[in-house]
Amino acid sequence: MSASVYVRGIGGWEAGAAKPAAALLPARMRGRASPLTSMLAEVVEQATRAAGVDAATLPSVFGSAYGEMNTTGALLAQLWAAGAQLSPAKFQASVHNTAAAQLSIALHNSRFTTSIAAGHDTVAMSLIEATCWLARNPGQILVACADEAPIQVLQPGAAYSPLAAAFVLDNVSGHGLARIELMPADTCGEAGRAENPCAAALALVRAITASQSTDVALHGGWRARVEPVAQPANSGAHE
Amino acid sequence: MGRAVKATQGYAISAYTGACALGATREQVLAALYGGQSGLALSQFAEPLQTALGAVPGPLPELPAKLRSFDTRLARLAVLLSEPLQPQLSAAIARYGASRVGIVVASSTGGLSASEQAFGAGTLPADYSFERSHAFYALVEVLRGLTGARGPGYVVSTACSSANKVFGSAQRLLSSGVVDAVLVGGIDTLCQITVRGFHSLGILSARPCRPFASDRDGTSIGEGGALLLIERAGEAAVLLCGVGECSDAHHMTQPAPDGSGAAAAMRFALADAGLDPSEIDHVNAHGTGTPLNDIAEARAIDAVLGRGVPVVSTKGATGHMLGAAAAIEALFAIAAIERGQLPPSLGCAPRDPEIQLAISAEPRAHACRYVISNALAFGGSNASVIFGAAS
Repeated sequence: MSASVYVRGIGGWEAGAAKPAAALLPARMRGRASPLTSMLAEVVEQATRAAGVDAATLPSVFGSAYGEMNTTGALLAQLWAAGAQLSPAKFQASVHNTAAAQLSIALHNSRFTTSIAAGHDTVAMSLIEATCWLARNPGQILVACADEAPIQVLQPGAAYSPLAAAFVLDNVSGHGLARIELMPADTCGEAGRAENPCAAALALVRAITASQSTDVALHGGWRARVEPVAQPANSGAHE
Repeated sequence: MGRAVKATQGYAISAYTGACALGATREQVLAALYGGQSGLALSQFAEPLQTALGAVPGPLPELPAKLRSFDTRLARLAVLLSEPLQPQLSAAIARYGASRVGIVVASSTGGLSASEQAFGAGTLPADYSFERSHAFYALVEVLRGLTGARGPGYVVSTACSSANKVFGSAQRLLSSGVVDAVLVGGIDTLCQITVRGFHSLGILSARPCRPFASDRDGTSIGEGGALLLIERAGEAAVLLCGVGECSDAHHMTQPAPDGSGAAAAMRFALADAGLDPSEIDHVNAHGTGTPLNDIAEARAIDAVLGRGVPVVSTKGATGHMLGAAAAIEALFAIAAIERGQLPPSLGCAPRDPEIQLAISAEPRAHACRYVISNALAFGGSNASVIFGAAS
């Protein structure tokens, strides 16, 4: 596979940054949103704003290795409390596609969306799913990846920080912030277990921001070759 | 003037198997399904709740020594399901190379039942590992270890539509040239949180579920799954012809009442397969037995395909297998094509008078060239898949 796509917009969030504004979600939904859904809504807003596209019009791929673990942890506690009564609000928000669903509802976006998981290969597989979608459906697609901080009741000793990143990819316009090409890596690049499973997504955001030709290891036997794109003096004229 | 019969277009489904409450092998499952049996039985699993559940019968095979650290019920189901496909998988790996055979499987529970037990123990048991016992990707790692496939691998998890969406992923990976074959399917296990969670939403029946019946009052949860090998080319009686995926953009747990989302997924699948609605011979409905799902889906089927096409929900036999539901239902769609016979829609009588579709509680002889299978999920995630006879 050597599909090459243009990155039209990027978004990133990591621990230490301001609390995710998640402005695409209506206030009521935002107030109840999990850390994962809030982070994803935030980076989707950043990436679509940077790309100058309406998030309501894009198909999307959401990637997370572990999904809604804060919500799952709350359900486990309820399960083992007296009465084993689960909160219906928590239960419906525990599915892996919660962020995708809440954004589709908030934006009235009925287009294709999927939610995948692949451990430390999640970023590579999300980008493959998205580029394969574009190959059959030329245009733009949103890719957003995130994992929450580990929950200590199931992941004692794990200490990575939460992070999220998003990309608006395009295979028709011929321009953008950078061109990326997914390629098999010579080495598998064993991911550190101390690392957020989606860390490669933020590394890719940084590489694109740096505007230099570089390779970003995505794990799972894949890498992304990043080539900066010369910005025309008056980019608006080329739209 | 007769229309020339066009050749069926699609990817070869060269091997498939399934296990659910009806049995632990494909032969057992199909014999029980067509024999009108239900695998649902009243259970104390989630006491004090009274409900009917569909558990896979019998002891499950153990993991081989090299994969023992992945031991969960989910992983054991993966052993059960991958074994019968191994001859065709090995042939595909020999033909294309291990890195050209991908794995895209669905699950909504992953290893959640292992985490439920580990959490309840107070301190995590020594053999519990979050990455190997709980995380979705463990399923891919186990299937890689069992089968030898080394191509791209991931889990699709969009609640109850997951196992139809893996067919969309497989189509994309094949047509983009990333792989030459894909092992697809889905596996879920019974969990306290899913059973009690459906109850908390008021959509779990106390009895075996009765899709499309006038007095239906909720679904029943089942477990199990199915695996299918899809190849770019090859010998197969049935082909993967089209996939449609979209969102309701309406509500987290309720379908758009007019069924517009489900209708759109079916129309996308028809367009993808290049078929006219009149060419669909049978619908394996999502048909969960909840009041809202069944009426909305019936409206969608009526709007897209009309009232004449025979419709079946097999959830009265298997229970709702959530992230794996569409995997076992793909097996049933394929069986309908191969046998020229439709399974019964258990529990559908007396039928809801508002649901004017061709639904029958009896098995029916009915030649099928194209069958559509629907899956509709939390978050308004809709996916429809069309299977077709190769000749």
